[in-house]
Amino acid sequence: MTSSVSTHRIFYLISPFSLCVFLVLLTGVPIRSFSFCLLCIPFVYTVIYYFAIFRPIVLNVGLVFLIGLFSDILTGSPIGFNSFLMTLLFFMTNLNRRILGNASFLGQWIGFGLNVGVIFFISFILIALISRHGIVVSQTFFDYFFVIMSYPIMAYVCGFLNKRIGEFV
Amino acid sequence: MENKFFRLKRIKAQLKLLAPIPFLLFSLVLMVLSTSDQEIVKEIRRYSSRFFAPIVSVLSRPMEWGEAIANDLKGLVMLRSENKRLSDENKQLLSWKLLALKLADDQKEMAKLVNYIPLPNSKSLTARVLAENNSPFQKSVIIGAGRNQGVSKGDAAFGEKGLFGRVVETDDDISRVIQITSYLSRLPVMVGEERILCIATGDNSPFLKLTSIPEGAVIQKGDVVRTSGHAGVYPSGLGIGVVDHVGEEITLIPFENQGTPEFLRIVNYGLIGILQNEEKGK
Repeated sequence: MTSSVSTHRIFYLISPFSLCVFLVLLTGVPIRSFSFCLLCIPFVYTVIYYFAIFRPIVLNVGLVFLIGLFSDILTGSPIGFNSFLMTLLFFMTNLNRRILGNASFLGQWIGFGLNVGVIFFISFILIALISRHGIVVSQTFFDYFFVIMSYPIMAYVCGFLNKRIGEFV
Repeated sequence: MENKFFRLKRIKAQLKLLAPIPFLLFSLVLMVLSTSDQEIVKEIRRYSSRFFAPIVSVLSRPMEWGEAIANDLKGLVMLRSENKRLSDENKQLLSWKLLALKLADDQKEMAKLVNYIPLPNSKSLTARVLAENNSPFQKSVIIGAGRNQGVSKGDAAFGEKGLFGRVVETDDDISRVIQITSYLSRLPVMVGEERILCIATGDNSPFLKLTSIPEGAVIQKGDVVRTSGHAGVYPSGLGIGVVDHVGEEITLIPFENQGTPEFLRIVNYGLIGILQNEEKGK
């Protein structure tokens, strides 16, 4: 194996994790044109969901937990909040891996909607428990809607990475 | 033998599926610890902000260029109407200028008459917004100025149009500013010409809610909301926003409501008020 192939292999193997870190970092980018935070939408959920179905070894539970911790530190949430939600998403998806892996694209999309819906609902309860206040429901629906709508694009990117990883694994 | 092998393999696969459970439990423990011991969390965040704020700032550059191009294009398209709007506004402002000059003269004379001692001058500096922390728990930004540049806890932060927030944490070269629309934000304010005293509370949405309104107080849409000066954190009279909706809940739209400004003006009025008690309590 030449060093170039080896570098490519490492690059693609760490790409799902790097993509998650990049998406978490994007949530910290200040947006000046909108009164809402467009980049705060948790697109990282799509990457976790996708790789929990197709490559749980490359983006394993330990890495998902670390991404969650990183997100907690960066966004100002209580430490453990996002790591809990992301690990739970990984857990739920991985439990239904066989069904979701064999499902059509539409089936996977619906599965994503259901899984992420549960995560949003749990986050809603956790926020109410921790901070003793509710969250703006419209904002939650907005985030949920955009995450679901962005699934085809994000899944395409993840699919591309998955294909390249397949060439090396 | 083969049966045993397959059984072991199945058990191993099932254990693999349950691997996230310890991580879930650990996350819950961390969550409980971090909500009970805020100081450790603050320290972790302070160190991580020092490291990650410049990275996020670099990531935001392409976004800024994109927004600048979009704004330029929008400006070109709207050039004619914008020109007309500005000339109308200019005429209006000139008449306001004359009135302001007259009032300033009157105020000077009256101050002399009653032997008024003016407030000490405020100190200000301008800092760039490096990163944004937007979570359901708080809305804050990291700015590129800290203790070394003279920023201190409690300083007011202004955008282009009005009050944006308050400095809550300072480090050597960065500080955290909590937005007035954040969940943790509570502002003593006065509304309209009647100067009705109440509290403006943030709920992470772009609007603020008015609470603790005195019975019988009449608040109307369009009333200007300003700081009341109570609690001694902000001086009295800083513009916050305009009452936007009067119904079951009274909401106001802050002057500074169009996303996160690129720069913030940090002003020290020499007031620390209840924050002093907070420090002592620690």
